[in-house]
Amino acid sequence: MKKAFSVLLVLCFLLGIVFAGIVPSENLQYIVEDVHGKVGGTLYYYSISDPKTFNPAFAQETSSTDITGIMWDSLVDFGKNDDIRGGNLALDWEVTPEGNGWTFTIRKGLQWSDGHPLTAEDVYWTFKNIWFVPENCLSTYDVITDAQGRPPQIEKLDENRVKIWYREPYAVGLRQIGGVQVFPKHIVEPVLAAGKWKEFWTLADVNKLVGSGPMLVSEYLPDQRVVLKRNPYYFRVDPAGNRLPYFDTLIFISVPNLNTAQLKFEAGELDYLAPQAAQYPNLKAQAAAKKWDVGICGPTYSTLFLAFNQHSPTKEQQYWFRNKKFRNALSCAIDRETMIEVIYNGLAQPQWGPVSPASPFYDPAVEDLAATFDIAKSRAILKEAGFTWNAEGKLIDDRGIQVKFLLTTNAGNNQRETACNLMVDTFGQIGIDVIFNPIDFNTLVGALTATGNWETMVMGLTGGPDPHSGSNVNRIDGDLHFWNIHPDVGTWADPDNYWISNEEWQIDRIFRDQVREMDEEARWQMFADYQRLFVEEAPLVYTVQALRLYAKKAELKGTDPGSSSSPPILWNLWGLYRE
Amino acid sequence: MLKFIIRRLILSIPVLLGVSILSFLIISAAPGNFLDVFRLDPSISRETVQRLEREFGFDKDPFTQYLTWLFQVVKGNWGYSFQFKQPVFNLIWQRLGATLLLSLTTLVFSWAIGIPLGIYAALKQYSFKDQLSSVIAFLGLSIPSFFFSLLFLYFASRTRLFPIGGMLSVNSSQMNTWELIVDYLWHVIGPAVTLGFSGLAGIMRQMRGQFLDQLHMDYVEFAKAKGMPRKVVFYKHALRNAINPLITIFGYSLSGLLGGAVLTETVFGWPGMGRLVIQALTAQDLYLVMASLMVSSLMLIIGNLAADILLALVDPRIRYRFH
Repeated sequence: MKKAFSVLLVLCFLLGIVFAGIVPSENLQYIVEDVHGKVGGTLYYYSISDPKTFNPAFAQETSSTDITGIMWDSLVDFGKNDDIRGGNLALDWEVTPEGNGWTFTIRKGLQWSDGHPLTAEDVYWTFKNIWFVPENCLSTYDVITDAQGRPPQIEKLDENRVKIWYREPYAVGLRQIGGVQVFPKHIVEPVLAAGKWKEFWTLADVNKLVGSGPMLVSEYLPDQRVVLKRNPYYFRVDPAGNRLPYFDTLIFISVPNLNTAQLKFEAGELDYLAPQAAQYPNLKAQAAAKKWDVGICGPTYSTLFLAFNQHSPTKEQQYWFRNKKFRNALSCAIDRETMIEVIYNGLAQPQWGPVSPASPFYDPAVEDLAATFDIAKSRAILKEAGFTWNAEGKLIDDRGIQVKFLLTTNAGNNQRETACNLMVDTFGQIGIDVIFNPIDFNTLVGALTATGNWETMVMGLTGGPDPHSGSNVNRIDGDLHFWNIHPDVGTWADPDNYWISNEEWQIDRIFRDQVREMDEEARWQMFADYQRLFVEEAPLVYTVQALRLYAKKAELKGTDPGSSSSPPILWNLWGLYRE
Repeated sequence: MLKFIIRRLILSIPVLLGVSILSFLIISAAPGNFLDVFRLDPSISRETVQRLEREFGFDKDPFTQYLTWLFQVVKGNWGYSFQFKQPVFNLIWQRLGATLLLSLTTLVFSWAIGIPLGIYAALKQYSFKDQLSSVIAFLGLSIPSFFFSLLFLYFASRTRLFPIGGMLSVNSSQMNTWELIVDYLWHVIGPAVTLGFSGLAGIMRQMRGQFLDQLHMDYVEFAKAKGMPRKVVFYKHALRNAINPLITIFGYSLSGLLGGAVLTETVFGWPGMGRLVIQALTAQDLYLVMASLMVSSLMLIIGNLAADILLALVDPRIRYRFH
């Protein structure tokens, strides 16, 4: 927060200069970005699947949100790692005296892409009528409500200020409120009144789009391309007084898969490519000759873990899977280095804890708890836990039952299938018979959320910069606390045979308390404890984490790729230019 | 004839009904539904998933869902796509044109080359040129079209002679009609050739075989002996008899116009129905899948009907009579 304020102060200072020198006629409170580019041109990007809708309230997958994110801005600006960079539509904000909300000051002189003024009324109206009404959006209501599912309150103080507050201090509130988009009341109000909001701003409504972001869609041809043109009223400028963005046009060319995208990139038809690890060495080798920049953005927020069902339908397995030592022993028997080489061509890193190194909440101390591949150590832990080996070298527990289980993942996902095969091999080395049985994704979801009919599985969930996004996974009564589901949530869990370890209680406690902790330092410490507890307890055994890669033409300048969930170079679309 | 056509069209209604019941039940029997992705998203609450279940009608049993769908279809409402929030037929219409364009170009390509080549090969039986065309035909029949497409794309990217997928260039909105046609032809060569090659080979072999059969018939010998000019014997008498089975094949290939190019469309990034349908299938976008299945079934029925009518027109021995 301190950092955000100091950035804001600098911005305000710069604003003063700009006001004095370049644009005295208008009273728009610009954001001056420190970029020095050339105006004009077209940026050629690609998309593997088409957007499904242009309506941000109903956009779900990234092919849609990547584009709606460009067209509508939110109150707060997020940077390359989804970190809070400063104000966006909001000039600044201050925490209310009670500490449970924020008073946002909206920039003066903002305009929608049709020239209509954008004021605090639009902000107030959007929250009140779209985001606070579950029926009027797909899942954003879930995002902005507090930990108990209660929406915040909003009040319009005057023409420039709105106050948004929760019933009690809510640590992630700013990130969540500041991240949702604001719509033009003068366009959406009549549509909503007519009951047509759900069918508004579909792909057929290109000519009805009125937004606040740097660019707006001007043409959409199904499975061919989406063309975006610059918004002449966008509120960012460079120090020379050029209104941003630099590019006039951004074209998403539709490609069927990443291989075709690579061919198009190599042929010079695309300016940018996010290659997979398998494509990387080839691109890197050509980089100098073809004048490309090829590199690594950093770790992503994706995860790949091994989970044990503590309510497994096979009863004797529950006894092993609830044993923390058993899980830790298996963690030592996962050969992460080989996984990185085989699955990711070496372009990945081992992951030890539940928080990605890209997150500001990552505590490097988890690396000290790392369970490096060591069969002897794994066997020693198993022995200590009372397991022994029979004459054939198979692992048996202290009741004499041979340890064996099914391992599953969603069929067709090569990376996960390879990870499973490697595990089958190394678990065999400690005497465990693992049968690998990949199943269809939908069946897998059914097993996880409806029937509980699984033993162990390799899965991934996408996290975010703030570990709070994993609340639903970490709280013991969370819907996605699937490895040890609460009997109230999952009918397959037997209430008489339900057991929660001390560590799980503590993690649950942390996730309940952290949302009320407004002090960043204290909250960081809570999440550090969470990461340590999680690695020690190992309810999920994390494996490896892919690195995000990029390849771009060297003539494309101003890029600053990061781990952001949006396309890695488009978070600062306003600052990109061609030399 | 008209009576025959009407009768065939009326008979197609129970067929379509059967197809729709079977498809709907099979889709419903498949595990999970469109909301599965939502269930695994930590940011979406159970209440939201339940609300969407009610909204999409997943809380009802499959039979009720089917009857609701059928009732709406009879009223002319084919439903909304879950993903796109648009009426399904708008989505299919948008892409139907591209698919038909590709299929028709391919059809013209394979027939316009296959038939003459077959005739030529039959007339020059066992010559070097005949052997050569046979070798090419067997190659065409044995290479899977998707693999051939990949080879073509590789070729295009290495030589830059052809575009890498797509139907029109990025700047197509600034082109005039002639430029558009040239641009389209330049783009369509890859998919049409790779898709049409196996068809071409099949047609050529069929044509050659049928024509040779006819050439060895007694009536041909007789006509030749009578001193009839060779051209008249071959092209007026033998060819007309040889072409009959190919008309039937032609009718069936009409039915494949919409669904026959899914793989090629996917490889070449052709903006047709194939990619839409595959996406709808993987996302379990129920009503979109249903609508595309119904359109394909309808095309199959129309294609068969067209084949029968064409046969009647070409072969004077065939008359459809229903009293």
